[in-house]
Amino acid sequence: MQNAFVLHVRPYTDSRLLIDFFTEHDGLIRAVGRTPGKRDRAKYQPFQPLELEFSGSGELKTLRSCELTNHIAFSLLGHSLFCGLYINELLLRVLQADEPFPPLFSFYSGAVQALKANPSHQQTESVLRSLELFLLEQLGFGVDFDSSETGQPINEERFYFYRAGHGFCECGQDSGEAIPGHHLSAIDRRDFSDEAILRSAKIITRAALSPLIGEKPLKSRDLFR
Amino acid sequence: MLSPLIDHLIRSLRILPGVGPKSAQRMALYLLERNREGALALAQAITNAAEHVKHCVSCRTLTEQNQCSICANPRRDASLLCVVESPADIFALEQSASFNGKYFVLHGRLSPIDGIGPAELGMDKLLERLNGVTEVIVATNPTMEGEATAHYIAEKAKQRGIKVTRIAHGVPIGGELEYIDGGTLAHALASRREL
Repeated sequence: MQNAFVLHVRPYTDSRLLIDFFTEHDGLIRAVGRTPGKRDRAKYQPFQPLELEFSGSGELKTLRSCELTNHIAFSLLGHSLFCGLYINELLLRVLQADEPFPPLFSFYSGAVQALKANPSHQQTESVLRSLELFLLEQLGFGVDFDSSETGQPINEERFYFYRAGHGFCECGQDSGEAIPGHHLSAIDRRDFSDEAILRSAKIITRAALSPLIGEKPLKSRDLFR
Repeated sequence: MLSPLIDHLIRSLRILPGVGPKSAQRMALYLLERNREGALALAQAITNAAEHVKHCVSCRTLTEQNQCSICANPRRDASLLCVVESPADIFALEQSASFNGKYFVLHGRLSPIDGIGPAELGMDKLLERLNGVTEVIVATNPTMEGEATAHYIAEKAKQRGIKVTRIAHGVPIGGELEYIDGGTLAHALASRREL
């Protein structure tokens, strides 16, 4: 048995579902499960903590058992739900199947709880940015907030722009996506107390994630428009 | 070995949901051996429906007319609009005989991972349809994607100053509390009413 969350469900045959799980010990897995009966319909909804067991070593696993660890009504609602759907789409897009990421699993679980606890704009945006930065670190694409691409320490008084795969490069205050140096040290401390810092963090994570996401944009971004 | 015509019929029947090779064979043999007349009537009905049924111009449900009978009915309240996921939901709500407004069919729900966003669902058509409506009742299914769809519609309708309501989720008639899942009970409690 291990902890897991459903990321996505789609019908497979008349009586079977194809379910993408994010599991604690095996990372992303895709499994075939029986379509639940009337009483268990809530089981395969995303954002609910589950315990599951599966068999098979190929790409497609067979679900042996799957239980909700605690019954909670829709864990996410409204704007938080949009954020949750975004996170799920992001994970499905960038993670390789069957590669374990236990620290990311606990981070994800914490993020879902945080989205549920406080659906304010400030909170949901900080949760998304922290998760994106953690995800980048876990995948080996962590952003270096201490030094610029030439190896110089970041100066809090200067301005920088970010290039995925390269790092921060000093630039003038007026250039398009110039980010103040003191924002970089705040983001490094995950201090998102200011809307302006959140905006800078979004510019950085978007740029850093874009090579991993690929050409097809994430559909869930349309929900926020 | 089956002759090509029978084989073709069996394969054609298998496109139906829940019909496997055995059931398809049983259906084909029944139609050919026991009920030729019924078979011809069925073939005719399928041809007619498949050729002529299209989407209603105002609510997008299935109909062979330009406008479905509900949309064309002047006695139905045009200021109430109920948004549903599929035409089957309209049939269900109509059977309850408790709604006298009009409908709008989304033909799906927001599901970004499947590539279905607001544009794919035709949300712009729904927003056009909101002219003259005073209350939108969102009757999407109580799934995570149904809730996301409801929230999206609610946000857009509120921007236009239209009242938005969501159908209640709760305990079915004749049900017993001890057998109802925790999620439904929590919903039922949260939306309790004073007696």
